[in-house]
Amino acid sequence: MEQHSPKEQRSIARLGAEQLDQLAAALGWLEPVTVPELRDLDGQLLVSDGRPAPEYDRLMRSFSEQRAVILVQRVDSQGRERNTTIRLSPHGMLWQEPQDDGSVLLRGAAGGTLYPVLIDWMGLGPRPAPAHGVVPAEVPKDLMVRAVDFSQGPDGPAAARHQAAAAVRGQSPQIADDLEAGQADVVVLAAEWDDGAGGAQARLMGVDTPAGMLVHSAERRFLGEKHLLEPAPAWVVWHMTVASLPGGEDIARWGQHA
Amino acid sequence: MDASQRLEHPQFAAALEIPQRWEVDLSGIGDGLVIVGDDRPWSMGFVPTVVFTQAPLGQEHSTDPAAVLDSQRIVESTLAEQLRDLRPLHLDVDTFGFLGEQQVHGVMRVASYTTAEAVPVMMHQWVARCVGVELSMTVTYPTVDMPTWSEGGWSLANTLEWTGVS
Repeated sequence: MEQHSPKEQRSIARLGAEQLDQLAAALGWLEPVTVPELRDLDGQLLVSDGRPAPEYDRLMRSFSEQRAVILVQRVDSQGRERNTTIRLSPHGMLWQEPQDDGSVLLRGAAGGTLYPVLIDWMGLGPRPAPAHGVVPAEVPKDLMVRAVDFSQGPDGPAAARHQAAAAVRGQSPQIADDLEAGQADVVVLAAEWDDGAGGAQARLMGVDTPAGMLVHSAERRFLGEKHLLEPAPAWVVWHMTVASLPGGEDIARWGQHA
Repeated sequence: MDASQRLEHPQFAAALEIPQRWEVDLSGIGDGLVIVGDDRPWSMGFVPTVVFTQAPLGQEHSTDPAAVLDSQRIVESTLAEQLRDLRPLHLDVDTFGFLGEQQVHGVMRVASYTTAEAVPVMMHQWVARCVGVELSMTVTYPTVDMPTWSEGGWSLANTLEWTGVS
């Protein structure tokens, strides 16, 4: 059984970027430093005497005893991002919700909440299913990376999206039209976790349009790799997501070593 | 492949092969309910189930998959009130078993929700109208077991035979 402080546990804290760094330091990440006291933007005491305040014990433990980190990024055709970082621990999960004012909401919940939170941040929902038996389209290796790289301005990502549209027009003209019209978000999921054998990583990339989704994959070849984009129902993208994340055995093992 | 048993009953409008170890409850067949479950819990103590509901079709019911899809769109809004954390992931026309050599067309729904016991689960549901009944098959299992179960459910839906009620 999990051991919790008898104090009622708070599951939400609102922090500025600087406080987030201080919190990480207080919890022994980064360079451990003594943070005698830390309050969130609403004045709630998170750390006192260099230790998590009793009400935040579980939330802080999800931070300090994390076993998995999952990054979810959703980028539209204008470069607007919707990102979160989810941390899983034997004590539950914690995720960060960036706010419009630059602050970050830290939210905690039981581990099972991972799935609805992931679905929401990936933006998955019913989409038209693709035709059966569609052959994947081959795309350049860096296409998906270019589609979300707005660091040199909007031209690069726009060109990448046009290239993607041209590549998949034969598979799904509707999705190609949405890509051309800027009605397409790129969804990226990247995860790292303790698999009991030196650590595991997973990455999944897709495109979400009102006409349907595309999923990216890399096929190993004798010489190098082949990069593919293919239409897939949203639930198949979800299946691939769940299959690429820590499984029941990982989660059970984290609990044993808590 | 594991040993299988044939799930069939004179009052059940379909038949299908299921794993031998699964437990079958036909006691509700008079009300059109058949419940099948694994004989052991999977993750978080949850026992995956396959639940069939069957109701006679009235004259007003079209067997056209588009009509089934329309009626399931109405169901979609009430599901959100019944199921915690419901996240619909799919609702579209799909195939659901065979009548003789012919594939039967109906609707497939996929959704994620959380049970009353706080277990995150996936629901894969097929609904079609054929041989005078509307039949639904709902496969429910813990989300973390999706890599194993989503193909299993799909395979049940694509091997089911519409036999009709004798």
